[in-house]
Amino acid sequence: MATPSTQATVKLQSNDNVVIEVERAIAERSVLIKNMLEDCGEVTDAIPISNVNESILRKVIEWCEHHKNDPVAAENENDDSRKKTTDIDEWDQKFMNVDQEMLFEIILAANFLDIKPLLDTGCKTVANMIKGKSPEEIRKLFNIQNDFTPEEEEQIRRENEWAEDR
Amino acid sequence: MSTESPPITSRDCSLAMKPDSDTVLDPHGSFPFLQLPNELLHQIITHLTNPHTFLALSRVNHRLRSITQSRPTRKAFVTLWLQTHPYCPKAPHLIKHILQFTRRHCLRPHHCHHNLNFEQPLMPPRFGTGELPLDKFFYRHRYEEPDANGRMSGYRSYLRQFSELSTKWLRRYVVRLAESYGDAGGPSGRVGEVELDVEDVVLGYAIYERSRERKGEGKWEEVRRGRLRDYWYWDMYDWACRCGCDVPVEGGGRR
Repeated sequence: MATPSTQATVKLQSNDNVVIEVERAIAERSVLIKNMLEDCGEVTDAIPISNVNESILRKVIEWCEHHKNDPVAAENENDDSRKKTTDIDEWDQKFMNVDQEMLFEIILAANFLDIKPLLDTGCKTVANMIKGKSPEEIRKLFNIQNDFTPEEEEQIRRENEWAEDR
Repeated sequence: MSTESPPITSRDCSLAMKPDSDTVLDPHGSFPFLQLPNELLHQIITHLTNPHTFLALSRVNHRLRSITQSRPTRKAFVTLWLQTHPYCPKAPHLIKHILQFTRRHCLRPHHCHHNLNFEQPLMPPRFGTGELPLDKFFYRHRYEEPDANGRMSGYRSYLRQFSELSTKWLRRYVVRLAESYGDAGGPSGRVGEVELDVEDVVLGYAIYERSRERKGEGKWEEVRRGRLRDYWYWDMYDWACRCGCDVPVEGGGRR
């Protein structure tokens, strides 16, 4: 509270020790950083972002920059702020059009940094990948081992029978 | 001020492309889905738009099964599905009402007695129908006598029209709902308080998809949105469910 808006930029340090200077408003898209800055007031040292490497951090900053003027959802709004749509806007779609590994890292980083809209976009992107797929197709897609015994599988199949044969 | 290329004051100038990471990624480049913590898998699952995909996930492996069976995940999925398929965010949700109504009456006695001789009608809710031509649902559906099995066959036939699901499917669905309550005696209380589950979204999804198709065909266009409220007033005694309400009038009563 005591912080006047003098500090225009903050430094973020990735886990591979690269320091990136960012506009404070952009960095504050991250609730984690925002809270940290509010608690500490002026921060001149680089803030270590211990779980995120440089390339992902840059990518996340790119997202925050593009979305810096989005209205920030009120904290107690939780579910309501996710309302509206399952669609991903065009810019975000392009942004998320990265290799699987990067997508995975972005989701983890968004979770760590507490950037809910970015996390939602990442989750929607993955949800879209699974859309309409059968259990076997999902296993193939993500390289998942089927660890059910034949008996279990039969039981699960029977449990799910009601939903089929529409 | 743009930070497109922010100044790099690198302490250790090895601009390593790949940092050490404790996550070992799949060499084939497929998304390392199962390496995500449960909390994030939960988030992804709640963002699914198709309930059949939700059910498919529950059949993939043990871990996904336990997540998709956990109450918080199911609840969050249902909530978000209803929120992302709304027609008017400020009004009660019409599909939600249909689902709650169906679930509320999945066990016998399936028809409400409360709609008879009711002198103090509740104000009809204003549902957000938005783009969905569901008016006829309420116009047509009446409380029917239960069939020989004690189930609402008449109501089900309206559901069939609106969802394009087969009668057989709907019977299985209602039986499944009823069975899920075991001896506990089924849902009680007001329709609006009935808690929904993933099963209900399967029905909701069908109604939603079918309604969208119908709108595309154009033959429902003549049903004006504004008339929905009129239907309520005309047909209120027939459709307005009083289950769970205290009805201070003879002929009504608490169910």
